Amino acid sequence: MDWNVALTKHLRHEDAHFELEVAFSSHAPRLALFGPSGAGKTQVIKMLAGISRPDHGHVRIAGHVLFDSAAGVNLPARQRRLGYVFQDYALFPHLTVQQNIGFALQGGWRNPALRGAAPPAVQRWLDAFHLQPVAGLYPHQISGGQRQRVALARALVHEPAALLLDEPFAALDKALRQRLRDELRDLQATLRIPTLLITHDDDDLQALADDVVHMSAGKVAPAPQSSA
Amino acid sequence: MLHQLIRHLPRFMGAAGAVGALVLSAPACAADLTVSAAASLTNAFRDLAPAFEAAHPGTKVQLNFAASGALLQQIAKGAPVDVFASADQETMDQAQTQKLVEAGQRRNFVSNTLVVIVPTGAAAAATPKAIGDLTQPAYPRIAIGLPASVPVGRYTQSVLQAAGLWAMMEPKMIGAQNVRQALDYVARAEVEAGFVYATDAALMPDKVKVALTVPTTTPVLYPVAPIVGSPNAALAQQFADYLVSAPAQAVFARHGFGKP
Amino acid sequence: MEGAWVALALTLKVASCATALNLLFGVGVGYAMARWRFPGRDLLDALLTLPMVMPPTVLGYYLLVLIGSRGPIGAWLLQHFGIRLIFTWQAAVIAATVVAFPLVFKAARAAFETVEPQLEEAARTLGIGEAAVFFRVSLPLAWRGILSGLLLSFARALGEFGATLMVAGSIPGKTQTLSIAVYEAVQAGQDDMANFLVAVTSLTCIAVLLAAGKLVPGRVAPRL
Repeated sequence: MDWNVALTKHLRHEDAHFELEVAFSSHAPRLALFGPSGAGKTQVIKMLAGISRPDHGHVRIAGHVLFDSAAGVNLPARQRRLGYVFQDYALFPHLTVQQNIGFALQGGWRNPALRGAAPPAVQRWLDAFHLQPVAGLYPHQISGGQRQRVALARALVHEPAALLLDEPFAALDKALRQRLRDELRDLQATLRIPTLLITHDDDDLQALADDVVHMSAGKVAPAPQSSA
Repeated sequence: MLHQLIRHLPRFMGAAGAVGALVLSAPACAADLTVSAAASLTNAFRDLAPAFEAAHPGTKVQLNFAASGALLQQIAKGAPVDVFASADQETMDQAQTQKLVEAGQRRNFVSNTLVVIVPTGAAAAATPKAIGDLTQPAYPRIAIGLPASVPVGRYTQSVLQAAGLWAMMEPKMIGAQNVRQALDYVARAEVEAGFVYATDAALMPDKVKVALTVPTTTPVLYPVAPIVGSPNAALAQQFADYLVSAPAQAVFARHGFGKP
Repeated sequence: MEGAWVALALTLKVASCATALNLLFGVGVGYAMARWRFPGRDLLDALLTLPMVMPPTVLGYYLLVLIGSRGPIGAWLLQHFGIRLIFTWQAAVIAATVVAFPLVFKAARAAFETVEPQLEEAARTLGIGEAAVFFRVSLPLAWRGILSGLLLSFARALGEFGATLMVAGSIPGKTQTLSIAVYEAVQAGQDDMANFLVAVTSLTCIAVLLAAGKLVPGRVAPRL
């Protein structure tokens, strides 16, 4: 699995300026972006997903060129075949768990049906994550842990080439975090899907990443000295 | 923020009071004379009012123009009008029936002519030579004052009914709220022809031209009368008298009105 | 009193058409303004809101100058299509649409601004096209706000008078809406007719409000 990324972007929010300049490459199937808040990790992952556009650079994942400013390539997000799990899940509040998960499988301008049996791919994830009991409920009616799983299932259902996770356990308590971390690790092993994980948690690194890119203040930083 | 408002309340009240006093204190006048007049009298009355004010120092003439029917409704519902000048006898008759004016105090002060006008650029084929021409397809839209409330519309309707043309032409009629609106429709070429008074047509020689003068079934005579119960009865009567005086008649003649 | 029913039917027709047009334009423009930043956006917003604060007669005059037979748009229509808009019910629709547009536009813009852009981003990463993002995510979440704007727009179009009178005139059966009919009945001293028309208009407005109460859903999945 190859990750080959070089990005620069000048960000401006009101009067604050932020220079993002990041370059990394790795062969690890499970990569982590590690760093304190404000380092720009979410910005990077957005550019990988195609939601945000870099000023310059390139993005190559598993041999596919998703973005290359020199060559004029900029694949829109919908064509990048990446699964994205947002930090606060971004579940569609007007759709049920079942509809959320099946969202990517439905073409056209209509959402998946409210009632009726779930398509097989959706059913598979409902079973795998034990979400069948809440399949007909809305995001605000289910627990934090369940929402996290729904977000994951939704991102995986269309069999993406890689999975991008933005601090997937940040909103959860410690016990839940541990459980879901183990689940994700098992999922990585079972699916063998390349993942890029944003985190500032050491335990996440241990369990879920083979390689780490450290970031700080918009730049890749050298790895800190490992403690004894 | 609310508590700040309350703290400064006395100051606000003072300011509001000062503004109120300013607004309410009109310049002191001997009398305000309110005159409601038919729309076709607009320009002539605007010329006459200053002369009347000059002859009666301290008087201010307030002019109110609309279709005669609309003006009558205002008076009937209690508007504080002192003098009423309408464009036809029928409206004044209605006023008399409703005891708003007295028979003995009403008099005619000018006359007018009904004309058919077309937009200035109209081709010969689009200029009627006789009333009957208006039934042709060249005139799909014809402006007419609404007969229910506008005298010029009533004159038009009775002429057309007498000629047996009303039924054929009614579907083409575009109703105007007053004669000046009918004039405007023709001036903008939104209609192919319109019925207005000669005096109105004379206002826009660059935009409309008179195609026909139409003899009416009853003479177009404008009556004026003071309103019963007006607090300025004497002044109202003086205004009505003034309208038939020589100087006023000269002004009317200048605007194209005829003698009563 | 038959004229009253004709006026009612016409008023409902004009108001419905105007609201349908505003649904299209107001929602489209509202979405564009909510999502895209560009220089002059605030100025454009102010211009688009202008019909709401301008006196209807002023608006009517502008429309008359634009779509009249000698106006830039009117002359073009006349020359190329033989269409004359003044004194038609279509002109009444145009007047009502313009007058009520800001009500839908502002409501739509505000509604779309409450939709988290992140939800639209999520939809994009899930492989659906821009139009689908709009119809499946943005619009359903903004729908309640848009609907209240539409109802206000309908009510405003029902009562439109000044601008309509200027460009559509008052032709029974074609452009004489309820408000114009009331005006003329009063002018002509036809009090019975005026009273009847006022009663019909009031009942219609009450019916619209009741329908509005039923249409705007009481419950929708709250935000996460």
